Amino acid sequence: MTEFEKQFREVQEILEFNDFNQTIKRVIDFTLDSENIEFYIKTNEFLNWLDHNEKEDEDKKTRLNVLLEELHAFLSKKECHNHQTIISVKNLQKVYNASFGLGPINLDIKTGEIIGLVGENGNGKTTLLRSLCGELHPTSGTINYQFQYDDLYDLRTKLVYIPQRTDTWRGSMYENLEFTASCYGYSPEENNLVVDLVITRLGLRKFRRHYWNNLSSGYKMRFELARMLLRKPKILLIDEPLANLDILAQQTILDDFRNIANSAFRPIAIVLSSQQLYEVEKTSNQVVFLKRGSQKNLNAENDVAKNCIIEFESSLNLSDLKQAFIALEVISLEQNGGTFIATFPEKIEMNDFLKVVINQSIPMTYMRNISNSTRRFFVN
Amino acid sequence: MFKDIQKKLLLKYPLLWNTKFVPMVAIGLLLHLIFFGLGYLDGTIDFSNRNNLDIEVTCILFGVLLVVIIIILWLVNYFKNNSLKSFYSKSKYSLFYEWLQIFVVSALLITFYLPFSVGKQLHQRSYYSIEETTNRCKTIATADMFIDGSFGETEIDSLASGLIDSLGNKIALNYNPEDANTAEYATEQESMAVEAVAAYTYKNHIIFNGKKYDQFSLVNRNTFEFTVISREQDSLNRIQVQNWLHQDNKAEVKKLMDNHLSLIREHDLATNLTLDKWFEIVYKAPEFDEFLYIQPYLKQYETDESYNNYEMTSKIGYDDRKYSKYFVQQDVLKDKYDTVSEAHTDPFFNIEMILGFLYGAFGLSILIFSFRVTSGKSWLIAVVATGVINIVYGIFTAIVGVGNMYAYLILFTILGIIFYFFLIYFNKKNLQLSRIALNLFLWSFIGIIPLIYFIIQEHYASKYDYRTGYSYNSPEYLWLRDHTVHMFSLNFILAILTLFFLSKIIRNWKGISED
Repeated sequence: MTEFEKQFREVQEILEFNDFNQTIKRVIDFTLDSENIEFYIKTNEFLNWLDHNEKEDEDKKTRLNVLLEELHAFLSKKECHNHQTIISVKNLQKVYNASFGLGPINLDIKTGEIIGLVGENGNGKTTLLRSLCGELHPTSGTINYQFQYDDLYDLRTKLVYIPQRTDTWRGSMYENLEFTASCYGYSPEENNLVVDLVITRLGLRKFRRHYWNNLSSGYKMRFELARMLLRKPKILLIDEPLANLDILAQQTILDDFRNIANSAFRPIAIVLSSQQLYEVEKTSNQVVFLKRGSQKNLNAENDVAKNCIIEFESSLNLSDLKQAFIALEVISLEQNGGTFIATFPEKIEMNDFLKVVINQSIPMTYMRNISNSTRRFFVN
Repeated sequence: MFKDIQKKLLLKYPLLWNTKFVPMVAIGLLLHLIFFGLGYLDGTIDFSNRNNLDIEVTCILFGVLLVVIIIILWLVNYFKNNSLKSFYSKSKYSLFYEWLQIFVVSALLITFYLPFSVGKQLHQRSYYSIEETTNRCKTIATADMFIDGSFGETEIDSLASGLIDSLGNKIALNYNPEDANTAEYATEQESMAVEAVAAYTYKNHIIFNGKKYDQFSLVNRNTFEFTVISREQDSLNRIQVQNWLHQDNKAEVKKLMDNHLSLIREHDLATNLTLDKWFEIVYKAPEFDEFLYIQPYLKQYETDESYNNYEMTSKIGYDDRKYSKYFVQQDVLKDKYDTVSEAHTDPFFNIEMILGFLYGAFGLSILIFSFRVTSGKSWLIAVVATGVINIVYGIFTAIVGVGNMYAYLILFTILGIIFYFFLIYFNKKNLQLSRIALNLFLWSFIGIIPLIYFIIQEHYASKYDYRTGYSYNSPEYLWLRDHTVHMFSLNFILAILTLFFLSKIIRNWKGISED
């Protein structure tokens, strides 16, 4: 079964459960994958119809089914894109001044992958992103871009970097997106259709005629993403995309990243930095932890510590908890704020921890196994 | 309509949409049309001199203000989107096309004076055809002999001036080149020679067709010059009237006076002359030296020009003139027909003016373009740097006291800046100060050829010949001086060609890392 077939089955299932929002997003993805103006028109017609018939669930489902089948028939004949390495970073180092240096960083980035950059503030996440997009020149080491480009400018057009603080857009949002699409070779007939699809895909349909100053920072980020999608990038580098989003919006945008990156026909690589460890870890194929500029990869060869580490919150005090976990051969127990971090030998598993908690009736409000999370890198 | 055009351009030609080229060209053309109309209005000639309209200065000031406002509004809209800054996909020479559009818009905006002047000239020409203007000017110019004005210069009396001896032999000038070994000496000799010419004695009569007339005889009167009549024709016209007087051809003289009075009446100008009276007080054959002057104006200074700009050559003092009680508004007639005449003979455009506007548009477009491709901050730093460099070099040149030093310093600074820019460009590591350097490069590269040209010209400027003691300009200097316009024209074309290749380099340079 091809990647597309898998995705198609997923969408069918989503539609079966009447999750129209999600289905529509995926239908738009498939439509954009088709790169065919007839499908652009069909999907837009459906979206226009939907604007006035939001409540017609049965009709909606039927129309979506028809559209999906047509897209399936068309895309089944199209060749899927194999994921391949597009950027190889070898011993990248960037020294700003005597006080800070990034690296050495070693990283392979493949199309269809999401790479999360995590780390405390001021540890080099933005520097790495800016180095990858060509804004900063490495002090040593190399960044090898493994795709066709004519010159430095041409390369920079393919590496889209969205900084945390984006520049203000002047003029209407829609006009700006039309301009981007036009610059990237969409024909006059396709332009508005594609822009409509992209803004609907990112939940911006109601805001297309808005101006920059009337938008919340979350929507500004979404408009940046819409613009990015129109630019057909090889790699998307986003600095703190989740910073201004509520928890629901964070999950939605990460889900969008997942689907966009993993397109069967137009996969791109996404590198994003964030402080939201667990959310990023859920979505990312690779997580790079940066501490004082140095790289730490999870489950990498240099990652020798294989202990079981559990993060939890309890109303008991530190000494009571140490006593309670003595049977699990607790190696260390640290408290940071209201949260405890308990380190056990490798053989201990979450279930053993749970058994002790239940048997000893330890009051517990939150727990998480962070053995395979970069969260443990934050532990002293 | 513009909205639809802009929408179509946005979808098909994003650069044209971004630069707002079409609306700006339309605004530019409208501006030209308005100023053509204003110029046409300003070109109105009131031959009666009662309701003169002069709105040129007001129009130019209004135009400058309008253009400044239009440029600001244009830039606000144009700078809303910058595909280069956002690293949008661009063709190799897209920046050149962008500059070209800026240049066209800039040129259209700053040349509003051209349609004004064309409109003005066209209206002034439209009063009479060139043949009609020539005829009327001939009447005015020749009738001037019977009104007021200067007299022709008489011959030098060589004997009285000491140029020949009583036997007719030429007397040599008291000047020995062998003695001349300093420039001061040569200059002194030259000024002495000029003084000597001024001190020559002139004859007090002229000989016309074998007859002797007093130098202040009507026969020796000058005619007025109009550009529509060539100098040769002027002389022929004067000789024709002189012949009428010499041959006592009253009919032709009366006809000329009548034609002139017709013009005065046609344009509703004032005179208390009648044909007979005029003829009577002026036509004093056969010597024509007892005539009375006609006052050539109703009120003095009713035109900008004084009546005769050749008064200096006249040997007769104002008090010696015997004015009659008669007047005619000849000054107004001359002034108005002079305007029509010049409108016919002056070209609509001259190359120097066109070059001036082209360089102006180039300068403005480069300022906008450099702001666009670099950054506001670096642009401002470059402005300050330009000021500082010029002040420092100016002071240094003043202290050193070598005239060409400033030009040399500026030239080498420009070359240094260009070298630095290309060093960064070929290194491809990081931009460093190349944004500022690029601004300075773009602003100054057009000056390289003229600077070199003027340095060379100055090198040849003043050659001193020790043998003759004269300072003289070498043929090289004269050739360079005579070809300045050609040099500027060629330089302009070369600047555009340079920009064509430079635009590709700037695009690639933009891809270099910032740090």
